Amino acid sequence: MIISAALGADLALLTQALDAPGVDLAETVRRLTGDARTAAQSYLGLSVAITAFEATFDFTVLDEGVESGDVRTSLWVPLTVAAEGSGAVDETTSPASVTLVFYAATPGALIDLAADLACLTGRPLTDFRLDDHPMPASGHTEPTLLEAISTINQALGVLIEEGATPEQAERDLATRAIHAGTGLPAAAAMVVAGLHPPDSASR
Amino acid sequence: MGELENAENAGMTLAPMSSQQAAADAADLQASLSDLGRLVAATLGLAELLERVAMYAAHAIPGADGAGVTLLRVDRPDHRVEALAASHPFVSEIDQIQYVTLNEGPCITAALEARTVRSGSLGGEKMWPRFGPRVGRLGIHSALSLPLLLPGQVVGAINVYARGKDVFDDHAAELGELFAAPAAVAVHNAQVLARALELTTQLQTALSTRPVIDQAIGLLRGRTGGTADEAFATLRRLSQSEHTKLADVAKQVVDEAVRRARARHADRPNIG
Repeated sequence: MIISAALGADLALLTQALDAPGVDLAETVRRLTGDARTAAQSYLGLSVAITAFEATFDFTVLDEGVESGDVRTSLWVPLTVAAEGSGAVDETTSPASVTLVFYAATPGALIDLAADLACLTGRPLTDFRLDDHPMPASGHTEPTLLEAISTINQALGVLIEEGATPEQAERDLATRAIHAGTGLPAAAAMVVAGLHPPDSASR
Repeated sequence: MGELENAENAGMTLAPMSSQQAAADAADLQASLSDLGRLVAATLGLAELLERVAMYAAHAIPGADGAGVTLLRVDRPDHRVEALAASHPFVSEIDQIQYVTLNEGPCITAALEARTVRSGSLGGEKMWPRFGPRVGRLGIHSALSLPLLLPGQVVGAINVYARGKDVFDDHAAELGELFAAPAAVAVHNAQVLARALELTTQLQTALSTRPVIDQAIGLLRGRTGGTADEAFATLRRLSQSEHTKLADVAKQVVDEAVRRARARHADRPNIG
């Protein structure tokens, strides 16, 4: 299994936010991959998509050399992650929407795993969909926008520090993007870049 | 039908024995296998499932006074324990000696060599010259360790202990192996689920906290002109000195700045 540089950077960004000694999201992905490979002999890879707190993070990791055409079967695993007790800042937010898909080369290879996961979760087997979703894109997914979102939030912080309310900061950033003919990430990058040296940040 | 349900019937293949004891043993095994099949329908977490498996193993294997289940990473030099559970407190004490104090014992041998191992006199056991005498002094003299085998991989072991000497014979080992086969599938698939939940919970937590941390980083950078790494280091220092979660510290920083901004605009409604 290969974790691309872009995915690795995103996972590092999220690992940093966890601030939990010994926790490394890339390592957790590797361990899940290893366990899944043991559970299904012709395992080829997995996809994760999680939407929470107005952000979506998704990725696909396939074994080295695997192309989407090699995938002959898949298992969609429904997971619900409760917000409460997760350490989330805003625990009033509804639980995350999570999609986990395993891919394998041999038709039928994931049937037993599906049955056992259904037993373990107490869900009906029909909740675990086999071969019922788009196959993964060839190779690895495109880099996510996490780094861009991070820059946007940093820029909002800069503007709040300059005296804007959060609403004003968002409007200000949107206006800057329009005036510069760019997207929000580029406008945010300009705000953050303007901090060096501090005196040059004046508008 | 899943592997668990298929394997649940494995007890039916046990060769009938002539004695009443053998019949009782087979009945115990069958009952434990049935329990194993039922427990996975009970929506258990990994730790609780392992504990139940340990209890069923102690019941299934004749002569057992207690049992433990351990998931190991045998590909690592330290044989890292991924998860473990025990049917009785004395088994937990033995686990501590085996995995923490000595890194030596029947479970590690069974997992590394992918074979059933047993001893009827732990105090003088040459296979584990440090572990054996320590456990023997606890009054535990017999051990049976059964590897949890999946195709091409060992994922851990079931360890069964008894106070008497020479308690576990070939018959006990055979029964244990019949129990261990479906147990391996059960505990491993539970581990897959636990790992998936671990990953998604961590992702959710990180996605929820990253925005406010980034805003706090931006605030600090706005104050100091420093880099993002420097601002993050400042937040982390605050977190450590105040014994407060990093995300909570970040939220305090942002909330304070927002409060100042709102107060400023309330005082001067025409500005901004």
